[in-house]
Amino acid sequence: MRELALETALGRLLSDPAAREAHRADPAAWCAEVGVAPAAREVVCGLDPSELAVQAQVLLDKRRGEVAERLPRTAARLGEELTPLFQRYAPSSWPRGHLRHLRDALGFLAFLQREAPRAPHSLDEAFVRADLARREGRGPALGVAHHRDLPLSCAYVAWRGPRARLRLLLPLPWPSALGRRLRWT
Amino acid sequence: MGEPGLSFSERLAALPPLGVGLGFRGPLRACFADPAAPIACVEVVAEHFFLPQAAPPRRPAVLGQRPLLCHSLDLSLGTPGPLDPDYLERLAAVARGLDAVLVSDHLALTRTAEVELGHLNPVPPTRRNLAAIAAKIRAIQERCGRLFLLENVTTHLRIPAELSFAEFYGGIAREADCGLLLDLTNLYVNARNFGRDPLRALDALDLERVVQLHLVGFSEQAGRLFDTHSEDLQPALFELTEAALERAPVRAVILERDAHYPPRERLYEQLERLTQLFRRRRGAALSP
Repeated sequence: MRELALETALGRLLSDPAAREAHRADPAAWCAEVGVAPAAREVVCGLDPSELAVQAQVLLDKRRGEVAERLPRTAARLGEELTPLFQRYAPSSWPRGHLRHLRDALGFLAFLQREAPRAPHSLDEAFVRADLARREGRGPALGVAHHRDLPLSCAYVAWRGPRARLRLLLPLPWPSALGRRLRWT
Repeated sequence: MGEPGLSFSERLAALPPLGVGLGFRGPLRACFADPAAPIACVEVVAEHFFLPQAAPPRRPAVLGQRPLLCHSLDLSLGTPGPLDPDYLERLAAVARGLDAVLVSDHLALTRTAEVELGHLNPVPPTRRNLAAIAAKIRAIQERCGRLFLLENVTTHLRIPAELSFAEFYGGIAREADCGLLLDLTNLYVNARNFGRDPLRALDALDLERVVQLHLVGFSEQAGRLFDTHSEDLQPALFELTEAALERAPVRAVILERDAHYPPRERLYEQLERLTQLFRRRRGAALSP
């Protein structure tokens, strides 16, 4: 087993609730189990479990804030459900890179499609995809939105216009039964 | 400003007072377009200007001719191993393209070999990390051709290692010969949460290297303070600002805000109050 550097062990403790539980129960045993480098063990064993828990929660809260800012309509629909749902989603997904908040927003929308399918707002998804497409140097984002209450679907093109304003082109809708199998491009 | 090889003292001597400014965020765009806004300088988030194309990033016209400070979030100086060369190139391109006066990032760990933690975490204050981070900062200053400022972060986690925070933070700055971006809110929040006096925490730092200040209101939950970037400045922060301006060669003060944006007037009131403090301590040689 490769030895874990101090920083890597810290990363595990901050991102993995099970690791925090094991560390809280017996720090030395956790260090031995995951292979924390001997030189780092004293420091890792000296970390206060309650401080680790607060720091880890702050990380999730900040991520939730970033995601909610990018999904305002979905967040409004979820109301108080946002926090517990995000809490369930977040520990298993840690997007990378400077566009991670956009990717996190899409990951959370995908999670909601499974866990709370009436919550995701198609406009939020369109705008996040438009942002991501622009930042990645691709053209406009193409997608299909499905109405939450009516059996209608609609293809759209979303992009950032002058002064970074979001633009959306929505052609005529069609019955959802015909288009449900379409996927994002 | 862009000459490599200069010492911290030489770079500082060449840097005029920039005054009080505001962090540039989309919802605050109208403030920058307002000719009456008391915004003498502007700080941009470097990552917002990371473009996939080869074309250099362009300065948004709404910022006008205000001096610009380039602040990045994701160098993750505390991650063991070398800097991400692609990230460094992009940062240098933004600093050049936007004609930034200064470049800054945090004394933080945002990713490890295994996971991207997404936000700022404390770095174990070891001698090894001190040397490694100082070497990285020297490389950043060399590549960007600008003075680099290292910012302190909020933490709810104390890491019991070889050095105190003040020894670690100041030691890196001396070893790298860089400046410090002192986030007074982070200093205040950490001091209060861990039962220390904020003023004593300020005095423990290497204040001669503090070139820039960050400020934003904090929030409180169950007796603990958080840097949620969503509140107006509290009176204690103005007092701490005055103390910092009295002790350090500060060239710029940036008010940050990332959520619950207040009406423009309330933001201006805070900027004006900070400007008064800045003028009182740093003289009147400020652009309006």
